[in-house]
Amino acid sequence: MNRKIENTEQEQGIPSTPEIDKDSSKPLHVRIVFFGTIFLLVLTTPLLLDVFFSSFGMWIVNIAGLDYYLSLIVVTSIRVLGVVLLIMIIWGGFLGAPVYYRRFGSILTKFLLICIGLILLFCINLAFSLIYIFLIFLWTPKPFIHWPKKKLLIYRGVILGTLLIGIIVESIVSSGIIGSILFPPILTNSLSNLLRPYGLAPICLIGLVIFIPIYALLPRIWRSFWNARIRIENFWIEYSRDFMGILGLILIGSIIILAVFAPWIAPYHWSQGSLNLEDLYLPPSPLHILGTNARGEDIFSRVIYGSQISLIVGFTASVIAVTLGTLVGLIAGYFGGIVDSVLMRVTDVFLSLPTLPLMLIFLQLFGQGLHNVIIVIAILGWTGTARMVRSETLSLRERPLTEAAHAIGAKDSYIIVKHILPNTLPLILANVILGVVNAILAEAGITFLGFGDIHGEPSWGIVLHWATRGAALVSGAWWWFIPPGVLILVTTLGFAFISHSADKVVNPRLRRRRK
Amino acid sequence: MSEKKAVGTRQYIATRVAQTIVVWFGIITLNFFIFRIMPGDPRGTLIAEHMPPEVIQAIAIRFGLDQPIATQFVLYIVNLFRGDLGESFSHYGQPVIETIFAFRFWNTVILMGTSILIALIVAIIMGVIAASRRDRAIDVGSTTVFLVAYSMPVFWLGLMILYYFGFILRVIPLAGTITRGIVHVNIFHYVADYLWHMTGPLVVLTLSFIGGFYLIMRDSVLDIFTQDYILAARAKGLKERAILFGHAMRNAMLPMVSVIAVNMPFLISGATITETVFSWSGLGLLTYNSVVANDWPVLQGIFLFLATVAVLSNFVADILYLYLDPRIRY
Repeated sequence: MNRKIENTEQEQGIPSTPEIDKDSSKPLHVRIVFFGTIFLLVLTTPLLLDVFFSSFGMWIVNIAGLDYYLSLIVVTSIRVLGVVLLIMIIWGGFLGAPVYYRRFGSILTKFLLICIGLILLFCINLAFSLIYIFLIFLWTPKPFIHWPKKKLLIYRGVILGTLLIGIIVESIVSSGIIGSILFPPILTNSLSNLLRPYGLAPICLIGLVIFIPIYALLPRIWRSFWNARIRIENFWIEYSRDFMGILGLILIGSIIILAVFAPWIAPYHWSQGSLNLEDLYLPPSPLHILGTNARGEDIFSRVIYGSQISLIVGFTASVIAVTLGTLVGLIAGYFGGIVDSVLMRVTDVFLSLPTLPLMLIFLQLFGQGLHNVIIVIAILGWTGTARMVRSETLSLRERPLTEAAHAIGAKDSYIIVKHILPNTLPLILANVILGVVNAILAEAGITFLGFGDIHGEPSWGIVLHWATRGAALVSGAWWWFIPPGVLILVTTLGFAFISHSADKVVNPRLRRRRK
Repeated sequence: MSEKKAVGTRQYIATRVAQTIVVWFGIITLNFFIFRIMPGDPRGTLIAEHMPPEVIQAIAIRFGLDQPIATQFVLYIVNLFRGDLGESFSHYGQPVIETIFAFRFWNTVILMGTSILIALIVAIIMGVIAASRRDRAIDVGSTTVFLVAYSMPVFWLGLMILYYFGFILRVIPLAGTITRGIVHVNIFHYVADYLWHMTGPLVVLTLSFIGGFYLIMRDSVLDIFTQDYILAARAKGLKERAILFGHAMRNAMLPMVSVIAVNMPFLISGATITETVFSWSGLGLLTYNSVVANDWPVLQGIFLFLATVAVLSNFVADILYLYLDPRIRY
């Protein structure tokens, strides 16, 4: 049944293509965006794959310990192999009969699911991966398929219950220093951690190594990318009408350029200080555009490098938070009932916690590295998305499209991924953009108060923290505390502009009626 | 969905009460275990390495930390209902209740209440006006201004105000809630001094709230303009002002109720940074100082209080909704 739906999707994409190409009266910028999208799709995927395959080759070379010429041969042959694989799979998907109609397709899907299991097993946690494997492969195993429902429920309940109780008991027993020496945690540990003492840790990458290239090469993925280009173009046509949105794009674009090319733009490295007394607390001069701080470091360079950290924290935290929120919202909204109640009460608890104080406490307790800052912002930032996605899912579930999909026998997972998720995508994207604003502001606030890695690579919040510590306000050193703040403002404002304009496009009732 | 609609209002309220209690207990439990399970000794600031083991043992017994976790949890809940939140580490054994509620609570309430009120009034009026003159100069202008306010880093705005108005122009005080060492002549003098100190944080907080409120208000007014009853009001020949403030504004206020309720914890924790920048002696500054000083009992108290406020405000918003919008029936 799934195949039929896919087929219609594919057909929908094709007839609109020539229509687009014939239309030559389009403005230049629309053409640029159109070709840019195609360029991105056609070029970046093979490029990324090539990088991936070469690094895979290097990995093998390192393990085998080959000499220079031999390793060159190995890496090149693996790259060639990758290209051949790519051509074969595209040919098999696009030109030949689509793969998934055959038995091969279902085997491939199973294989990818096993790979995900391996990744979980090796990288995340033994117990969770066991639960995952049980849910995917052993939920209704073939020998028990004729069992009555009650018996099946007991079978599922006993296995899941044992695993969950195992986790809880183990985390209690192995807590504390003595406990963890006597009873090293097994269930709550990843296999790679357990194997590390025996020197077998590199095996853990097997799941990743197999999963990523096969998944990226699936013709299905390519086709959906290819079909997306028209939607992207339509979005751009609407979006480019709005001056505010364009301004936001320009602002964010320049900040991203600043972050990417920071080592070339900044005159000094961020940690290049000086011990000379004459070099401390310098006012702006041609040598140091924004002066120097208490350690003789160039503030201008630190501010430019700061864009890297702020953007990394903003994007990563926001994406993690929105992914988490989307998962919770989709599951709660689609399945309803007890699952919904439990998940929404958990969301309520998280929503009621005071955010900033909790962030400070977490950082105080768990250490103040960059990844901890990201985790803390993400953990406390998913609740809004979860609520919105849930209410959207609730309304989508009641629509005829879901009923029709059910009627032709689509599975729950298929409906969620293929019908509900694409329809909530605009909402999710809007949440990602707003989440970036919140994450950047949160990061700046946390580091300004002196939590976070204030001695490492500076973010704008860290520069401001040292400015207040260095009594910049009292001494009137405006060049120290105004530029970082302005940059924070420019970044968040750019994202706010983009989100405001994109909202107009996605939300038809906010769009201006054309006369 | 269909069976839910048949449930009466009274039953809906009962379910909400039950849910609220469940969430509140969830918070209490989390609040207790956050400080127990995490690495680090809860009495870290009280014991030092050179202390003899007997003293360390005595401290553990004094705070009940020698008991098993389950007993501690029961003790915590029992003491909670007695109104005993323990004693502060850094304020020399002062009860937590006193630390929180003696004056800091009132300082925060006055500051937050005033700024939320001002932000709400301005945001609602400007939102209605902007939506009614959509895409004209006033709409684009005010939307831009409020977007800037929305994306402004609060603490930096505070620093700027402190720098320009405090250091350079010397029109606002630099820190505190009242001038130290001054003897107030009468109550009016005291109030004037207090308000003078409040201007800085008040402006910062108002500006930080106003952007979000305005955007939501404008959106919901725009939504309401597409409704039929606005068309009907226009057809009746009502004045534009009557339509705007009589029909559109009153209906657009509904989403604001839940927005404020949901954002309550964010509003309160937003004050942490502002209060720290201006040294305004409220709950936010207390939180900051307690985190720095590892004063876990006080933090636990603040947490409990803030979370309770959030849960209650959510509950009140839901019930209020029921009475404000007669169309909603559960």
